[in-house]
Amino acid sequence: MSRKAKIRALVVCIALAICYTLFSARLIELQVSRHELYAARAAEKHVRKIPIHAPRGGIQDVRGEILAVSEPLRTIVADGSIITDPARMAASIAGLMEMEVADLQEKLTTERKYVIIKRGVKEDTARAIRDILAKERLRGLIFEPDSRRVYPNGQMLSHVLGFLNRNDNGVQGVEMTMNDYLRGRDGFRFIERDRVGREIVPYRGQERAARHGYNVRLTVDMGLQSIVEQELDAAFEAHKPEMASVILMEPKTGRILAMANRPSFDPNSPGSGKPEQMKNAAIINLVEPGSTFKIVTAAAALNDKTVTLDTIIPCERGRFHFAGKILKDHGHGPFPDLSVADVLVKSSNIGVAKMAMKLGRQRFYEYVRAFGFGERTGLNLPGEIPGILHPPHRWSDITISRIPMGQGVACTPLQMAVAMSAIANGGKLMLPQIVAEVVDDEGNVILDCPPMEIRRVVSEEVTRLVTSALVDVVGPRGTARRAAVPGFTVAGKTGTAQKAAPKGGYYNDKYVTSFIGFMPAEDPRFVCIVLLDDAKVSHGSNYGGVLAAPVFSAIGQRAAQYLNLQPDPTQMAGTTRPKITQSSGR
Amino acid sequence: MSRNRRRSQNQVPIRTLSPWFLIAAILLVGCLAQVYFKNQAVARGAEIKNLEREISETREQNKALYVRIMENSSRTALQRRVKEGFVKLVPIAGERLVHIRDGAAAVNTMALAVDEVRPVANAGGRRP
Repeated sequence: MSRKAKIRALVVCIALAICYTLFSARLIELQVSRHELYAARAAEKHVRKIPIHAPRGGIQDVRGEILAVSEPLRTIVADGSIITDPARMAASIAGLMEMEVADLQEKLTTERKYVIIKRGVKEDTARAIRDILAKERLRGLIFEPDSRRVYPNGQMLSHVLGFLNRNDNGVQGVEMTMNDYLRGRDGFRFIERDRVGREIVPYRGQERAARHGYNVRLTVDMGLQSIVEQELDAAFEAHKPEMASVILMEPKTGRILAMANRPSFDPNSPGSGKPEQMKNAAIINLVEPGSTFKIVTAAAALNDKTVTLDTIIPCERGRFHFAGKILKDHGHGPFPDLSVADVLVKSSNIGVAKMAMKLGRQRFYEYVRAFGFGERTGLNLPGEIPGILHPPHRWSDITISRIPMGQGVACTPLQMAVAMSAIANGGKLMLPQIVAEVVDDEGNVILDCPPMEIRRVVSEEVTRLVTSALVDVVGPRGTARRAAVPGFTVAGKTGTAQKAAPKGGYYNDKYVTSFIGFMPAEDPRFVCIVLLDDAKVSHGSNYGGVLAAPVFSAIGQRAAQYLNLQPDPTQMAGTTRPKITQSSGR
Repeated sequence: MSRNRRRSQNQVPIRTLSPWFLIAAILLVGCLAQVYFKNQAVARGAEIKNLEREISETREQNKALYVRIMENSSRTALQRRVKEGFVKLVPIAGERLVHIRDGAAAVNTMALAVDEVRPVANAGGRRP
């Protein structure tokens, strides 16, 4: 090679080397020095965090019957920057979306990247729309996951279940208290998109799977709930009370088997319900319990051994002058001297007042508190109220004669049911429970709720004595003959309380009538309270024994069949005295 | 310049260049393979995405159908159908129910029944 050629080659080589060096320097600057900046810009443009929606868990009854479930739906969103032919798109899908073509076209003609076209589109409709778009090569619609909470049983158990708000958070009932378990946890995935916005799957980034919401299993048995709802409906229709509640509870465990209130609402469309329909009266309605409270007084006096079942209480022939006022025995009196058992059977106000006086203010108050009055029971439902029970230093002179018969004390139907359960189960105050367990999709137990004893209130012996008296209340001599269930021994107590007026005093013509009982008395399977608030019936029939007791009887008969309780043939006529072990010799 | 000399001057040094050719060939094949496999990966990715979408849609359709079944077979729906006469049910009277006791109780009852029958038979066949 000539010298000239060699020089030319050298110049070219040097030029090329300089070029490569410059390019290399620029590459190093882009890839190393300014890496962070450009990586961030690229990520901003191509990388996106996609949420993975976690479906909400379901609610089931104790036998696994579905009470609440989420239906997947779609929200259709338009990206105006991609839509090229809104008129054609509107004409193609308006029918499926049940919209006018002109309206849809107007919504689709936009430059905005996020315009909600329609919410709550069913899955099959969304699929049909997607197919049409694919066939006609139209782009620009996004199908975002959405859901609707479905309560297949409508109004049944609505107060216990509650409902959701727009953000899928529970605002009432179990949906609210168990929201953290039901809601699940949304996941996410970082994806990279190509020039036209499609995901480049091999470049998927960090990912966290969604955790499905857990399923909540209630203690409620829908077989019993259905019975309770039907009988409550019949009573509500017949007596037209302002409000009515029934609670069915298992006394040995404290588990709520059924809970129903009227008026009610449909949680599938909570917006159409009025506030008074949405109140769970069983835990929110504050009422004076009336004569059903005499059970507490009698149990307290017997447990304190200030009386026995045979102790004779002078009942002053129906008029007892005390602290400047006259206490009367209404309805069934006037009574001569009555035994403690007969005080309950005849529901004597004077009799229980004297029992409480024998106990003394402080001791009586302590027993009432021990039975759970004046504090929340701890049921896993929102909004429960503690009731009203003033301490003895705030009592007037006549309070000791009023509280024993259920006046001057206010409680919820649930508190009465819990107190009665303590009599039925041998003296233990149980924590009422509505949630049995929380399980995941594979059936693994996440949260177990075993029965919980709060405290022992009275001795087992005392509960047997009280039960034997309460059996007589439902017998031919008692006030609750209509609560009898053929073939079974029922123990219970009626209550008829004048309704307290909001501004103080009592209404003359408004009553809260109730019956609370349990059966079979020998081995109670359930406690049931029926409460009717201000029934529209004639004055002469506005009594717990007339209005509420038959509802208990109807529920008891059907519940016994449902629970496969074996009737005692000797009691089919309802005349034979049941065997209740007692030591008093009555 | 003689012909032989020119031939020797223009001779391509195959032996010297062959490793470079080999390296170039390997690089070429490697790059082509990379492009090919990358395309394959992207194509498979698209397939995976389609499958994921189909599975998700099927799952959600399944859930939607499940909810529909729940609504139509719920206790309230069935009770409504009974009321409308769409489903006929014959109520069972209480006295027609047969109650099955648990094993031990049943055995005890049977033993008692046997004990009760014998004295009657022994007393001259009189019926109680």
